[in-house]
Amino acid sequence: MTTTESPRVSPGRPDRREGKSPRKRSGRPGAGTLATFIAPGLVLFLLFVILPVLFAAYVAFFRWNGLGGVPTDFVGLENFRNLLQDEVFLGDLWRLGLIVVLSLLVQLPISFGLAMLLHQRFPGRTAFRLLFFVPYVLTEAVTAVLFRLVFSPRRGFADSLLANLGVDSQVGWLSDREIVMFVIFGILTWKFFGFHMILFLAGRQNIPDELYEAAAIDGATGAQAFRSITLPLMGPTVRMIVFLSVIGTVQLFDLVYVLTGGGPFHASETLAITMYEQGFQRNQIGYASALSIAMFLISLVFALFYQRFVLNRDLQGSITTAGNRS
Amino acid sequence: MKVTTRRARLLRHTGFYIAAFVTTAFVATPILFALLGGFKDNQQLRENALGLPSPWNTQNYTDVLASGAFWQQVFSSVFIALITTFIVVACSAMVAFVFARYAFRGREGLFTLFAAGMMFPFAVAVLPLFIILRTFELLNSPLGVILPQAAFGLPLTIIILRTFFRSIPAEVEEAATIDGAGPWLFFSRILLPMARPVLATVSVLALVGSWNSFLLPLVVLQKSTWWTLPLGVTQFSGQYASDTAKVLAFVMLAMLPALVFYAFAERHLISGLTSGGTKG
Amino acid sequence: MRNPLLRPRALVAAGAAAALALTAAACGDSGESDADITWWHIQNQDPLMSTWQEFADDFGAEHDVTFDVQPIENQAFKDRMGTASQSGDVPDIFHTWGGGVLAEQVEAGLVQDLTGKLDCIDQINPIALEPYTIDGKLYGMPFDAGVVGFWYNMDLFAEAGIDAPPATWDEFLADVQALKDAGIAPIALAGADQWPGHYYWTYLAMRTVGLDGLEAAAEAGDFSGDGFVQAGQMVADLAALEPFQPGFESATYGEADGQSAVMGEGLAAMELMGQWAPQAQRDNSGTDGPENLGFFPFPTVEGGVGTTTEWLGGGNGYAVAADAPDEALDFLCYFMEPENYSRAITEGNLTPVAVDTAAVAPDLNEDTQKVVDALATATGTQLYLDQAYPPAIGGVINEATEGLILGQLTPDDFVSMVNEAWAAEE
Repeated sequence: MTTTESPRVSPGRPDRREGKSPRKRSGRPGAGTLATFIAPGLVLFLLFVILPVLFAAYVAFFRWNGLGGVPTDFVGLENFRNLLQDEVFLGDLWRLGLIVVLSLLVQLPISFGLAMLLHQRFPGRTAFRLLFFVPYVLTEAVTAVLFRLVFSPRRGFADSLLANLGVDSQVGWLSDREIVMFVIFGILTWKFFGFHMILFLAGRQNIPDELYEAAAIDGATGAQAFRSITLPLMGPTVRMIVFLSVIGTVQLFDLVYVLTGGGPFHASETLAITMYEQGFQRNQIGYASALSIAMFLISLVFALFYQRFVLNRDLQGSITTAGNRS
Repeated sequence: MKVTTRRARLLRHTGFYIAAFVTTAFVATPILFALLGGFKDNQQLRENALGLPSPWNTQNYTDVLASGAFWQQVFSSVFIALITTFIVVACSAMVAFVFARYAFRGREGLFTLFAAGMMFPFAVAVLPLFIILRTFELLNSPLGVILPQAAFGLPLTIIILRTFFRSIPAEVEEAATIDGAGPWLFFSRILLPMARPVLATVSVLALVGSWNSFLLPLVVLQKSTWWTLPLGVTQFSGQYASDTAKVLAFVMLAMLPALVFYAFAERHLISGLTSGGTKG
Repeated sequence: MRNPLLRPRALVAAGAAAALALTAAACGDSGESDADITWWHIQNQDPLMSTWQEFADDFGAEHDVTFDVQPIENQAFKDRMGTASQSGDVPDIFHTWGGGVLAEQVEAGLVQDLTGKLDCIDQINPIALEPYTIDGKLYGMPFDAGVVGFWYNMDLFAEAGIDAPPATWDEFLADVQALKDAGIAPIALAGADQWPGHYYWTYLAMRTVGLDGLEAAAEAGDFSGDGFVQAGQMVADLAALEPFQPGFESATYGEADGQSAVMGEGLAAMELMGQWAPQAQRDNSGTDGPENLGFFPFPTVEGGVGTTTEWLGGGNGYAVAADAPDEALDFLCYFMEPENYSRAITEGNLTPVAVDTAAVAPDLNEDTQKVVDALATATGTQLYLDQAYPPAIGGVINEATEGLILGQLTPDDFVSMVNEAWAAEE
C-alpha cells in the first residue's frame, strides 16, 4: 500500500503539508501513553479482522462441520483441489469476469458521460446530480426485495410496462439462466452508476479551468481539449474507479442473494454466495474457508498487480470504499 | 465556450435535458413503483400496475407503521449504527493521532498492518467471525454486529484522519505544550475540535456502512430482538410473500430513513465518498 | 443548515449515551430475546398465523409468560434454522419435520427429550410420532400428518379431454402432453425452492426400486443402482416436455407468483404437494382456489416394484430447545387441548394426528378427507428425503433435482453427487 500522494488528484490542497514529524523535545509522551491511544483500536482490529482471516486460513486445511469443538480432520490441500474442480466455483469466477467486463464497457462509460454532462452548467444540474446518486444510498438488500417484485413474472412491473407498450413479454427476467446475469448487471448499474458518476465528477472538478482557457487561446477545439486535457488528467480517477468496481464485485453478496439466491441452479451465484451456502447451510466450514481464502487471494493478487502495473503512483488511500458493495 | 451562439446553446441544452431525463426515469421508476404500489391493494397491483392508485389505499403503510416490529428494527438499525460509528471514530482518532504526530519504533509497520486491513473483503471474514463470535457468546447480541463492523471500519477511518492530523501545523502543538497541555489535552481540546468537518465525514461513512450492512447481521442475529431493517425487510417479504402491496409499502418505509438522511447529510456523504474513493 | 447530528460534540454525546445503553444491554442479557418463550413456526399465512398468535397470547396471559412468535416462510425458516443450529442457540419451540435433520440437531445437544414429559402425548396417534422418535426417544410433537400427491384442477383436465387421472407414468406423460396441446400449463413448480422438485425424484425412485430399495441405498450410502439412474432419467424426460409454468425456475412456493398461487388462480393444472396444498392455494392466491380440486397418487412406473399405496409424506410438528423453560412443554399440551386443536384443524384444514379424530374434527373438509383416506389405506410411507436424511445430503438431493429439471445435470451426475455427499457424511 503506497502512501504517496498525487498532486494531480487533489491539486492545490493547502493542508497537504507534511505535519511536523518526530518530536524529540520535552513533553514527548511515554510509551505507556502512546500505547493507551493505540490499544483500543489495535485490539479491536486484531480480534475481529486479523484473527478471523488467520483462522480462515487455518481451517481451510481441515474438513470440519463447525458444530462445536475444534477442527481435527486435517486434509492438506484437498479443499483447494476440490475448489478448482468445483463447477460452481469456476462458474463464480466466470460470472465475476462477466460483471467486471460489462462494468468496464458499459457502466463506467455511462457514468463518465453523465459526469461530463453534469459538469456543464445548465439549470437544474444540481437536482439531477442529487437524484442520480439516490440509488447508491439505498440499502442493497432492500433494493433487491424491490427488484424481485419489479421482475416477478406476469404481475411484475417490468412485464406490466412491456404489456402496456404492446409487448407480450416472455422474458424470464430472473428465471432464464441466460438472462439473469444481465438483469443483475442492470440492477447493479442502477445502484452504482451514481456513485461512480460522483467520483468522476470530483475528478473532473479537480482539473483547473486555466488549462482549458489556455487550450482555447491556442485554438484547440472542444474535442481536442477533451482528448488532450480531460482524458489524461482523469486517468487517476478512472483507474481508481475501476479498482473499486472490481474489488466490490469480488464480494458481491447482498443484492444477488436476496434477489435470486444465486439461482436458477447457480446461474447467478457469486463467490460470497457459494461461501455462505457451503458454510452456513451445508456445514462445510473447511471448504467454505478455502473459498474465503480464494476470494482473499483474488483481491490481493488483483490489488498488487493493479498497483504495480496500473496505478503506480496515483493510488492513495487505495482500497478504501471497496466495502461499499458488500 | 464563450463563443457559442444562443441557438447552439439551446441545442446543447436540449441534448443535456434529454439525457438527464432519460436517466431520471431510469433511476426513479423502480422507486415510484414501490411508493405508489404501497398505496394500492393487490387487486389494483394485478390489474393496474402502472397507473396511479385509485382509490388511494393507505392501509399498507399504516399497518407497517403500526407494527412494533418495524419500529424495533428502526431502533436497532439506528442504535447499532450510532454505536458502531462512535467506536470506530473514537478508536481511529486516537490511533491516527499517534500515527500522525509521534514517531516510535514499529510505527510504519503498524500503520501498514491497519492499512492492509482494507485488503480483506468483509465476506472473507464472515465465516470465521461467526465462529469467533460464537466462542465469545456474542451471537444474537448487538455487540456481535457492532464490534466486527467497527473493526472493519478502522482502516479507512484511520487513513483519512491521519492525513488530516498530519496537516495541522506543529506550531499549534508547540503552543499547547508551552501552555502545559499533555497529549491527552492537546488531542481532546485542540485537535478534535479542529477536525470537526473531517470527523463528520468519517462518521457519515461509518453510519452509512452500518446502516446498509446485511451479511453480518444475517449470520449473527437469528432472533428477531435485534434485527436491523435490511433483515426485517427480507424477512417481511418472505412472511408476506403473497401480499405484494404490503411488501412494497415496507420497502418504501425502509428506504425512507436513508433518503431523509441523504437529504440532510448529502454534502458530508459525498465528500466522504470522494475522499475515500479518490484521495484518502 | 447543518444537521446537529453531525456536530462532533453532539456526536460524542450521542455516542456516550449509546455506549451507556449498550453496556446496559450487554450486561443485562447478551441479546437473549426479552420474551420467555421464542417460537418459530412456518404458518406465515392467515388464518393460522393469527390463530397461532392467539394461542400464544392466551397461554401467555394465563401463565404469565411472554412470547416472541416468529412466523417464517418455509424456505427462509430452513435457512435460519441452519444458522441457528450452527450457533448452538435454537428457539425454545421450533417447527420440525423430524427425520435426519432433527437427528442432527439432537446430536448437537440442541433439542429436549420429550419422552414422558408431555401429558397430552397419548392423545396423538403413535404412528404420527415415528418421524420424531430417535433411538427410542421422542423429540417432537406432531400436529399434522399427511401425504404428498398430485392435486389437480379437474376442470382444466376436462378441458384437455382427460377423463381420469393417470395411473401409470406413461399415462401421466401423455396427459402432460395433452394439457400442453390444450394450451394449459400442466404443472406448477417452485423451482427456486428446490424442495418441491425433489418430490418428483423421490417418488420416481420409490416407484422404481421401492421403499426397501430406497432404505437399502440410504443404509449403504450408495444410490448407484439402475433404478435411481432411471428415476433421474424420468425426471429429465418430464422436464424435457417443458411442463412447468413460465418462470418456474425462479418461482418460490409461497409468493404472489409462486407455485401455490399459480394453482390457486387456475393457471396450472396440477402440483405435486403435501396435505397443506389446498389451503396454501387459497391463502397465497387470495382466491377461493380451483372450484374442483382433485387428488391422485403418484403413478406407478412400468417394471418398477413400487405401488400407488406407498406414499411420500410426513407431517408438521414442534420440537423444544434443550434449555427451554417448562412452560414451553405446557404450551405444547395447551396447543393440543381438544378445543384449540380442533380450532386449528378447522381453520387451517390440517390433517389431524389425534387418536380420536372424530372428537377433534367431526367433519373434515373434503380435501383433508382425501389425505386421511390415503393415509388410512397406505401400505408404506417415506418421509420427505430432504428431512429424512442429514441436512448436507438432503440439500444435495434438492439441488441435484433442480439441476436435473433444468437440464444442467445428467442422471449419472445426480447419482454421483448424492453418493459423494453420503461419503462425506461418514
